[in-house]
Amino acid sequence: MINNSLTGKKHANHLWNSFKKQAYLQAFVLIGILFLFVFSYIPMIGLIIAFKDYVLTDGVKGFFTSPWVGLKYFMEFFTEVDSGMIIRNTFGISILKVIFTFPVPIIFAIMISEVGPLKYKKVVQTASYLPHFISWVVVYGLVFSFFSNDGVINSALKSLNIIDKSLPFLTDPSKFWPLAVISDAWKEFGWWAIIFIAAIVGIDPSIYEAAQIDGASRLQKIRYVTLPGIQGTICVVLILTLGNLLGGGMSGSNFEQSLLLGNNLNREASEILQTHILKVGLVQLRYSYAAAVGMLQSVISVVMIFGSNFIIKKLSGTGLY
Amino acid sequence: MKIRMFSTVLPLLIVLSMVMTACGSQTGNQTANTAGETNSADAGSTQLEPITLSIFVNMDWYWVDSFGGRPVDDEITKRTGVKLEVTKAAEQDNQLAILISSNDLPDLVYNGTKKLDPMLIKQSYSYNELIEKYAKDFVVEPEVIANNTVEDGKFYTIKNNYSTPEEWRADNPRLVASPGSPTLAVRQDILQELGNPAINTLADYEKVLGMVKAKHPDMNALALGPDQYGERYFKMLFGIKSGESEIFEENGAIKFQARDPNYINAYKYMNKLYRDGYIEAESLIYKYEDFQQAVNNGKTFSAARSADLYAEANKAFEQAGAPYKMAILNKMLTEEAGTVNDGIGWAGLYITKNCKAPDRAIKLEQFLRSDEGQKLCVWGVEGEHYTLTSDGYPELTPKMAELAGDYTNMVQKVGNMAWSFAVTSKPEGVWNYSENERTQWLRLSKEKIKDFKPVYSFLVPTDNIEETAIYSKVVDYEKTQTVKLISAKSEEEFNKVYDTMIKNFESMGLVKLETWMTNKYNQIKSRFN
Repeated sequence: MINNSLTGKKHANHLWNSFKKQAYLQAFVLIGILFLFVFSYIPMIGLIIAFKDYVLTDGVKGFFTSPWVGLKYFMEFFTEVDSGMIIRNTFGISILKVIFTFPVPIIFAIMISEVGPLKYKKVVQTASYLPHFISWVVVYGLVFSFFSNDGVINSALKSLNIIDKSLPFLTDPSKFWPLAVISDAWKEFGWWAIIFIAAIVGIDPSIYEAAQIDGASRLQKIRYVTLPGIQGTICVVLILTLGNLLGGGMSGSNFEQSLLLGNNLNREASEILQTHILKVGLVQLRYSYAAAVGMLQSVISVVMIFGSNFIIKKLSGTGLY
Repeated sequence: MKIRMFSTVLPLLIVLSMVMTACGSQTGNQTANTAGETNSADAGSTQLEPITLSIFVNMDWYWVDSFGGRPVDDEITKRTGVKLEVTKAAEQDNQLAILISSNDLPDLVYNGTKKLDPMLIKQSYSYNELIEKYAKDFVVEPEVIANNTVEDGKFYTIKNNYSTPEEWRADNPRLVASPGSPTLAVRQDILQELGNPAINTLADYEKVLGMVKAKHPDMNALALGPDQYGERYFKMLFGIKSGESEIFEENGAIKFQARDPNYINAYKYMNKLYRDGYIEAESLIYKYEDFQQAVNNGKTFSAARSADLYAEANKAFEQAGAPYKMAILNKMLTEEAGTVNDGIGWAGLYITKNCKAPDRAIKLEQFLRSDEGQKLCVWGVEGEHYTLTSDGYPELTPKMAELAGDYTNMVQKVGNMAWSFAVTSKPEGVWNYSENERTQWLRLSKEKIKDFKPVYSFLVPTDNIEETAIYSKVVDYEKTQTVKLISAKSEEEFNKVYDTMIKNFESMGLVKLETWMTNKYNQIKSRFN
């Protein structure tokens, strides 16, 4: 008993000593925690208005004084004319992005790590992540110039006599999802490849040498050395991607894309939860409703992050925590 | 030690800042009192004690963001003693809402966003109270009071740019419709190329569109542009029964505009133009910049928007050295063309409960509303910016005429139009006058106002009730559906889209909303007789 308490005390002392040793580093962490607390946790108090009949003029006080309405706004969302369409689009675009845009940076990272000349490698890598720094507003302009009736794509297809009439890339609902996925993959694959390239660089070169001695081909080296070597990174990025599934996965670009590339003609494919929140909630000043729909999305995201972490940990032994 | 020092200094600082804040408010109150005394003592005097009032202009596009140093600004200060400290909205949809909720409103708010009015009203003084207390000689016309009165029977602002039906109907060739009236502009050079075919009816117009498409297959025969602006032109041609409130009265019942047969006919017609290949699907999703580009690059034959479109396009053609010319189609193409004016004015000045000198604020509004105030705000300083003709109309001085060529630059240099918080439509209409194709079209538009229904503006629910949400949903949903009506592939599909739209309106609660509006109409209609 006495022994136990002594061990406990010793352990606490040890913790405190190592904490003191890392005082400066811990100060940095504290700033991060404070940042999260102030900007992520305190605003969560506002979620209360999802269950209340909140009016903006009541200010912050109204968060607590306005009358309770239970699940009224959640029910309202599910009985909206367009709720089915909005849910379908949100999940549809998000799942397609995970399926098609998640593997691209991994494949690209492997390809680039297999390239010999360093100069060429650097140029390609830099060029690949430059689009990440272009805002979606500018990308919208580029997409419009490329895909409009008189745009580069339609003009090229017409001059090659492949089509007679311009293809309605920007107005046809059936073309919105592919447009969103392709433009997102183009904009973000280079940026996300950085983390995978770093993981590949971290693999011990002696393993490649051993594989080579064993007579492994280039593809076999990728299959048996590179991929297992970056498995942990892939798992972590996948969990984070699934956590932000409804926001657009890795890039979180669903909102910007739907707002800018979406229009009244392709609305049945482009309207998603976030644009709905903006239009009905903020433009119509219905904050309680907006909070309720926003909360729904957050709850789904939390479930996704815990769920994906649990499943991936079971399957691969790697997880976030 | 440090912690102890910090814990002693922090409360001290807080207490000190509170004391200073209290002193600040006290000073404010003293100013208000002093001003009140001065005002009552010097009622009617122009020698008022200088005061600076803070104002939030809730328009992110506004021409100016400061007051003073311009002839009109300085003249206002000279006459009223008031200087304004201006904050212009960076984002007009949400910024005011945030100021209201955080109780950070300045002395005055100049607001044109209807949606925010109810919230602002709760934080503002009523004009009834301020006129009674500080400006008994401030006379406001009964119809203007009716147009601005809210549920509690008081009015909290005077919306500008309103003219009475009598003023509209009077034989005043200079008072024409607003330049915002929907207008169709066509390419004059292409018409000439086609042998100047006459366009007197919709059938003529369609025939010409066909000729344009035959000769220039890649050309956009008609661009409607964003925000349903172009659609409004055709709704006017078909004599829609509703105004900006998007509702109309039929046999004593209030209905949403989509139930109007003229609305259906207008969209059926636009759908026909689409099916004939005269409207490109892409032109229906244009953002304003895309629309402007489509017109200015010379690839559009006709475009519907405001009366200024043709002039802007011609300027762009000239700058690009292109030999194109656009002109207003200065004819009503149908017999039944007409509009309903349900306007009660546009933007207004609110005197908030945070105002340090409400007496001075109401006196300022009184001056701006007076005949000389309105002339100063719109026409500028007499002698410097205009001279009066023998029949009392303004004639711009050569310097001002030159400045007026670039409207924004003129407002920024002279200050006219910037502070027209309380002007009616008349002074601007009269000032703006020059006999050209634009004026002729706007005069024609004015003559086609079939009815004045300010009461409609009061039937739009704004309080925190279910009907307010229904109205917003219905109006916003309609905006997303009209392009579907226009782009329907056949008449059957058009009818299907229309029926689905009405069904969806009803599932949003349209019938409940219409019943509510009808009941309210029956309650208040006598106020407008």
